[in-house]
Amino acid sequence: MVGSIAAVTGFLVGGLSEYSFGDSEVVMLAWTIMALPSVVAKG
Amino acid sequence: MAALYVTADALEDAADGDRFVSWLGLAAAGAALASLVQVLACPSPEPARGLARWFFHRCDRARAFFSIYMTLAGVLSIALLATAAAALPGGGLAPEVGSAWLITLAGLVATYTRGRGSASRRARSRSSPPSGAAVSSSWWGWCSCSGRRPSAPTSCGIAFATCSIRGVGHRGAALHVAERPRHVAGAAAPRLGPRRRQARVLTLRLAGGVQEAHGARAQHAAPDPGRARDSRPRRLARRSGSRSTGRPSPSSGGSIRAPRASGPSWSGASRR
Repeated sequence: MVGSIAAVTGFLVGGLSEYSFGDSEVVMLAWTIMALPSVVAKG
Repeated sequence: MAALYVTADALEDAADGDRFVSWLGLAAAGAALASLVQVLACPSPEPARGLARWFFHRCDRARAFFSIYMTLAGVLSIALLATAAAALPGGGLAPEVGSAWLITLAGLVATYTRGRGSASRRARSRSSPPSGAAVSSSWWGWCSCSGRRPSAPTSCGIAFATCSIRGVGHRGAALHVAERPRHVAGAAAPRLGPRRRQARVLTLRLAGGVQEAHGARAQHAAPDPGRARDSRPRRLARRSGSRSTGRPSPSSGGSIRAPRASGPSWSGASRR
């Protein structure tokens, strides 16, 4: 959970200096990491 | 966005999530290891064909199996942050996984460096530096400036900004610039448009970078700035004066009088 929050935060902070949201590989990994808290909440 | 729903549906519980993050960290470490090999063993020139050409193509910055270093940097930074909590002391991570985290960190650092191929190109470009100022990128990507004229700080400042904005430092390129004299730079330039003036600093060449790859010719400034400023009639007057008198031409500090339009010429007067 903490790692997921840190990764998403880092992704958003990195977006201040570069447009990583337009890079498909990077954004796919970011979406994948965003799914982890829901997995933890699931059980 | 489908990745979010697929991941949330595919992983059953927190243990699956932990396993997924561990494998993600190992995959990122593998990519980082490949990028380190890429940067440290970057050949110059790059291999002509085959797998080596694909792997070492544009290897002056680490890109691993991605198309560009920025993608690798983004992926590695997310993977590093996702596994950072577990890599901290007390995070329950095995020592070997901790070393993999450090390798990933080194791979992220390698995306901001220049490889050995660009270093050799930079050494070639330094072999014949023109006069003026030269801006080149260092191993770690910083733009550095070396001036060869008293007015070099101005050239260096502008060239440094150009290097930073246009990415001239990329791939170890060196930007050589020259600075026009103040009165020339302030003169009007009608061919550029009304009320336009000459630029103070002009680019002589971009060596070792993109333009060199396209075969651009280096435009060296004259070795002697005094001679470079001589106009054609003045050069002719200087040569004719040295031939007629048999003495070397006047020093650059002395004044040279142009021959008058009427009356005896220089050479005619001296022959008598």
